Amino acid sequence: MRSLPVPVSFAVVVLGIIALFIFFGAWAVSVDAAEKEQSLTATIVSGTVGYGSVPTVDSLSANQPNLAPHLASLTDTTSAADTWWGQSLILACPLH
Amino acid sequence: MALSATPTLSTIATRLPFGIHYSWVIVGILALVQIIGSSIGMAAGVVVTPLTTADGGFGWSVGTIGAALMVYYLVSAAFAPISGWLGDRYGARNMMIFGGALYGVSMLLLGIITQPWHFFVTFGVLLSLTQSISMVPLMAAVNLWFRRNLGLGVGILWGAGGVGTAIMALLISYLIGSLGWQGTFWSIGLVGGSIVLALSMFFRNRPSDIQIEPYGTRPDDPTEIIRPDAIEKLRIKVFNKHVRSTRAFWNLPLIHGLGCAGHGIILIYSVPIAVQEGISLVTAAAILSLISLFSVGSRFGTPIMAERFGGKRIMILALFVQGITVLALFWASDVWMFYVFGVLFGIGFGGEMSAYMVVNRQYFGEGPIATTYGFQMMGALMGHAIATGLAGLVIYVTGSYGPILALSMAFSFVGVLMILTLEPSHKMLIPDWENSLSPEARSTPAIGVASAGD
Repeated sequence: MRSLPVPVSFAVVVLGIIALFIFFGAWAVSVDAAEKEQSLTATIVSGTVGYGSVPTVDSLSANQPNLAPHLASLTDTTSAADTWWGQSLILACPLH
Repeated sequence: MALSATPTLSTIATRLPFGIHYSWVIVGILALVQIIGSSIGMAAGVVVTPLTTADGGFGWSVGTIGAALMVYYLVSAAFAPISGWLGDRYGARNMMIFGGALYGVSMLLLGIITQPWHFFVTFGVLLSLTQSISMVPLMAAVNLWFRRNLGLGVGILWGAGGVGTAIMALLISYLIGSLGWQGTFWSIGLVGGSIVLALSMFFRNRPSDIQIEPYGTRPDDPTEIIRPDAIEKLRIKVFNKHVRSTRAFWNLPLIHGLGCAGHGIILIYSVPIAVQEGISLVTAAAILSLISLFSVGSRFGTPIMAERFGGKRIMILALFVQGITVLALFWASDVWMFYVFGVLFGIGFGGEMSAYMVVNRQYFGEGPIATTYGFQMMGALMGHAIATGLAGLVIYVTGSYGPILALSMAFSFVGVLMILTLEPSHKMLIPDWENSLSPEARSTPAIGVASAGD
């Protein structure tokens, strides 16, 4: 057991979070490629909040899912499925 | 001879009215710094509108601002352990002077930005470094000033941070409306930076700097020793090596990350969920005010309870409350339900974050803890960044808020499970770490030599 440089519980949880990212990321890329081109990147990038702070109403509004098309129009992005990271997610997820 | 080294502060320390210990002056200084430092986090929420609207004079895209904010969080996370190490190595006072100057300069530069890359540099990098300094070495500094009742000192700092968040949110919003972009950040930078630099004149790294003992010291406690710089450096290195060998070193940042992931999702999405239920945006925004307001009490009380009843069980309680109260959002439909949620969630939310300094004392003793605390703050910031990104993905693919509420609960409850794997709070994990030091580098050299001889 000591051959593992980190505790098993730590490794299991971290791997679980990575797996969640891969699963939902690949799912999102699939959806993006199918019908919602260019909106995924804006959705991910705009969804961050700081430690110990409380977001304002304006910043909260930007995170509403129905604003994704609006956000897409504000950013210059390509379809996630065409990007290296989009293809990597699809490749890494056995379920997509 | 040695007593005359810092005569001014030494005199002040012995002449404080009503026998007040200088540790409380230190707590007051650090609490003010936390209030000023909280303006950076609040600015992150306030700047979106002026930067994205043509009226604000910028008209940048939400994606650009979001990317800069993501840089801000990631840089803060990456720098947290480094700023902790710098605090251990060069002292919290030097970090306060550096942080105060950096705060002032960064805010002045933020006031004159014209291009997106200016915003990336000033906010995404410079102010994130300042934030790390405020959150890590200037929070951990209180550790050296309390031999007992550390929970009270830490509770005051966290409570001040909560009050500061509420004050600074209102202040920055008001200033932007009345002074505009440049006036706001120039006035905040000048006033805040000057206050921090002025406070640094009254701040000292440790009680021995003014020839007093930490608060709560008893006659049979070992006297603090002033050591040569090389020995202090060695002690930090050996202490951190021993800390890294424990499971708690790895699990505490992860637990903090899971806790922050759990409440980060709620802080972003509780208002949109209420709006979806037909509640007006302004009315729904009060949910966040209630969460902030009621978190102040638990921010203050949790470290005190952790010290009294053991950090492990109090952390479990706080994280469980944070997780279980999210259930209410699945059924909430009226305003009062959301407000009750805000009150209850605020209690758990405030308690989740504030016990770590006390837990560190219980597990690792009185060693130089800022680097370790920096890793825990790194976990917290990464938790926010990862969870919000993941929540964005989940909403994107499911088109519903329900799954992210479940995700928030899962983060909190997995955090509870992780806490259960920790050692009991009364068990110090590295009691013998000083045995790896030469006798003259130990806290109690006489005892160390005797033990070695035995």
